[in-house]
Amino acid sequence: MSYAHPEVLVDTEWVSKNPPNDNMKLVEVDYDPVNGYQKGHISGASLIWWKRDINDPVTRDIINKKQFEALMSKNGITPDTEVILYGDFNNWFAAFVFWVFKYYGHENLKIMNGGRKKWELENKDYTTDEPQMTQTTYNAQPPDEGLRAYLFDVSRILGREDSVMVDVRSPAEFSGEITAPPEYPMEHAQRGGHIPGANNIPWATAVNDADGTFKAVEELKQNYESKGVTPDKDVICYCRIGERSSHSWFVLKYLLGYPMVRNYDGSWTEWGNMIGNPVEK
Amino acid sequence: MEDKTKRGLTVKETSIDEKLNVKADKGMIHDMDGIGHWVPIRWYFPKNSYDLSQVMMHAEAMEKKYTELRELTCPDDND
Repeated sequence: MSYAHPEVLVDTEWVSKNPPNDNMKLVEVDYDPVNGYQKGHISGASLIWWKRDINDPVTRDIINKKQFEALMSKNGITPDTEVILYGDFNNWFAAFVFWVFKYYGHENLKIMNGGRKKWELENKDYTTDEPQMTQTTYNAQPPDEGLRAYLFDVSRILGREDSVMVDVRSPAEFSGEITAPPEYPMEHAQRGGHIPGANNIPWATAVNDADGTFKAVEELKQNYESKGVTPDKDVICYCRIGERSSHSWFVLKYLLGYPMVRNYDGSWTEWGNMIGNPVEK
Repeated sequence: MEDKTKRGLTVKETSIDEKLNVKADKGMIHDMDGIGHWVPIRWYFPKNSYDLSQVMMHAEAMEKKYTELRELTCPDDND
């Protein structure tokens, strides 16, 4: 059995043989471009820096439609361009950017399976040369709010049997033992634990540990369905800042073909900081 | 010598800390922009080159640094 939408994935071998051109762009998405893109990237790839390019510089929010259009223009992308995303941290932030691209209606979009991890395991080449992009005109679609869950959406589904929450963080974060790993001291919340009723299905259970590629469809189905995350439900994924949950959102929506999956990008750094929000440990 | 504020941080490499010029376990901390910075977690002072008082000097300097940081972010309200 194959993925519900196999067209959203390309492998490293394909990327190595198909350099970017006027109709196809390769974009590296990094959380940490200093230790990623700037040290070396796939030839012809431009950079989207998650913090700088995808987030509003002042308000905690993703970029708005106008900012998204400017980002596309800067990266030489038109609405018809085929865009291939890959990145550091097991493609977490590439998946987040995939979600944002879909939110603004970009159709022709793929992820390189395994991201930088697999590319490096295969000893494939990197360059430090940055491509020169010709600016484009990009008119985005209105935001597709069916892909995004807000705080009130989450509050609304608490306790409902036709909905399910997937907490994709580590078991230690889920249980409240920690609020963030020590590597990310800026991402703590005032309370530890999880949203009541959420299922803990860590993002990592969807990938092959050896190379970061996605697991086969049967393994993925077993992973989610055994915990009650089934396609007949309204599914909301969350993590700490919304990036790992984009990865699981991608798996559920595109690899398993669930019809209703949303990413709660406010995630635990919103829920766990709000006064009065119910918390389960 | 160990920096206990770095407790729980995964050791990613062991190499010379250029500031103290001794071998150190190092991990990475990501800042507000996501950029990773190498930070020493614990230092290994060779006994044949350092005695306890010399190590204590470094430990006290570290303690002073954190005291100053605490003062900067949460100063005592003496007014």
